[in-house]
Amino acid sequence: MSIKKSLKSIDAIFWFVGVFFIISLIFVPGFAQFSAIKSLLSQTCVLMVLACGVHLTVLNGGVDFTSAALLALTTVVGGSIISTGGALGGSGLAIFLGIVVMLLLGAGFGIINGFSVVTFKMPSFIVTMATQMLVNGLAVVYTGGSSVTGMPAAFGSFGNGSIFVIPYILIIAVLVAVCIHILLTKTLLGRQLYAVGTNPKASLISGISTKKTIFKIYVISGLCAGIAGVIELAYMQSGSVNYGSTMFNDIMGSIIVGGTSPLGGRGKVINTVMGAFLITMIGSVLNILSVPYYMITLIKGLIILIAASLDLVKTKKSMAQ
Amino acid sequence: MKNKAVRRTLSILAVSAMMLGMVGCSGGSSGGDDASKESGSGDSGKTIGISMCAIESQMWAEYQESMHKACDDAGVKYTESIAENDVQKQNQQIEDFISQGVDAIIIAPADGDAVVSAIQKCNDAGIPVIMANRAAGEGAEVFATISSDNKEMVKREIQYVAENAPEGTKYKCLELVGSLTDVNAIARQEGFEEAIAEYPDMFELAATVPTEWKGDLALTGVQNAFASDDDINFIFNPSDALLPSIQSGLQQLGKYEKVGEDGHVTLVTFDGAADAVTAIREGYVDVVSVQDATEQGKLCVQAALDAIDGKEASDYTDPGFEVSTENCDTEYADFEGY
Repeated sequence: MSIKKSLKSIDAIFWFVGVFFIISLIFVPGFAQFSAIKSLLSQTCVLMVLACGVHLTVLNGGVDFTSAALLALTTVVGGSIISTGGALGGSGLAIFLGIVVMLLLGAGFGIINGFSVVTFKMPSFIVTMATQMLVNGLAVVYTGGSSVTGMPAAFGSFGNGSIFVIPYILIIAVLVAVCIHILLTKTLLGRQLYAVGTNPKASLISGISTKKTIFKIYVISGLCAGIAGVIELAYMQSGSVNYGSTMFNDIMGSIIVGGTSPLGGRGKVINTVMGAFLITMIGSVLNILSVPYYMITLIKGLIILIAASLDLVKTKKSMAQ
Repeated sequence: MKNKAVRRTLSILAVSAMMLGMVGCSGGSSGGDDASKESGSGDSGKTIGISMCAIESQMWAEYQESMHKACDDAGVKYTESIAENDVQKQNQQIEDFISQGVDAIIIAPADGDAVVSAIQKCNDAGIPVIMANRAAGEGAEVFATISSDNKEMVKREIQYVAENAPEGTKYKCLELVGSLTDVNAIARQEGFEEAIAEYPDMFELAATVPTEWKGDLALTGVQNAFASDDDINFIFNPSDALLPSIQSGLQQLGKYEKVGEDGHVTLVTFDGAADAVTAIREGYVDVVSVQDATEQGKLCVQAALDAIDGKEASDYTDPGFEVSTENCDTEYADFEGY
């Protein structure tokens, strides 16, 4: 009875991921091997961290377009500091400084976004769309459009190393997800965020400082983008203004497939993590199967559409009750 | 309660069936879909992975078709991915090729530097890499690079214009630039600027417009450049993919005139697409430098086969050729572009 109950309590996304993973292991030639699984796990990390950050803003009924764009800016700026061709010659200090600057850049743009949304009461999609353009522009101005290469070997081996099948960068990504999960489930900020996302007016009346809550989540989302930048730079061993250019769809896809309501107030970060894994796995498996690229996009689109429709039905049902 | 459980089980079964269907449909793709084909005769049992940056231009479409045909002719399977000019996606797709266990990978990179990490993984996996049209950055080992002599080709075009210009002609130039992460775009820009510097009395650079290889940016770039300087009478276009936007911009400005007519804006372009060659025959475009995409595609597959067979590597630089209003109906009467 208890097994039945606990099976029932598992969210749909876990079933989807589990079923798709097992089917792929059995039927997709080349998928059931060490290198393919490691590669899949590595590919998921950046999307996972970015989606965790944006998840918070979606819970609040907002969005953060800046997140994917920050991937480009942080990798080119951080990359130029860390690079062996940089002023610090790719030393340990260069790596430390580069990482700090990347995190500060992410958090800095989070502060700008949070401040604008809270102080000027601007819709988040307008604010973050504007900062996204600003960030893209800055990345191109900073590099003149060219890529940043020459990462030191130690940094590269961190980005591509692993313990058995678990890449180091996945450990960082999972740590970020765990921190956000704890923040959402065990802290006051988390409870306030759900309350503000469900009904901002009621939250304000009940004494929750909605401004502070909203400000903090944009800063955390920016910080997540900075961490994703560090992971991306270590993994790709280069910084490019092109990074993240088509990633926003996958970020939102991960969040929606994970069952987070785009209207805010409902959703678990662990489900978003599984959503990111599912989106990456679908792309990767279909690639291995030589499915044409545009077909992959179509399939991903269909899956997101189905997930969003299911959420709408769920919301209507709960409202009716 | 029971109904709910049944519905839940059914939905999971339905999703499983859908996923199984996806896997099943695509699994037996040999000869069936666009992305993976197997030649009917002389199957060597080898597979080449083709990683395309994008196929938005006629040049890349021809490149792709030529590689497909060469694979079919050689009796090798190929599998292909398209990265939509997203370097991150291209890296992932190359890693998926490694998982697939292909025997060689041809990469037409969106960014030669950013693809180095993926090439290193190919090196580690012992899979030879052939670079198509764009060279890789430093730090990775490639078996061969098949590319065009971009700089020299552009220089020959400018030389053609300079030699055919009436005495005392002065050109105010609008220079369009492709993506700054593309080594070819940089080489063409450098080639153009070095070439016009050789004729300082004839050419003056009035404006430089970055386009990121996007037609809409080229169109607004042309409109803005003419708005700020109406005397511009020369446009250097680094890719035929941008030509329709330039033509549209000039038409809107009432400046799309034939060679020799009053108000003609000299148009120098690059690639050799059918649109450009047609426009040259109609007299609107002056000259195009043609990179032989058909030959380059064939050579990429040949290099991949050589790599698989353990033969010696050899790079190839396509010298290109120029088709102009002078020679389009004589020397290159049979050339239609692609």
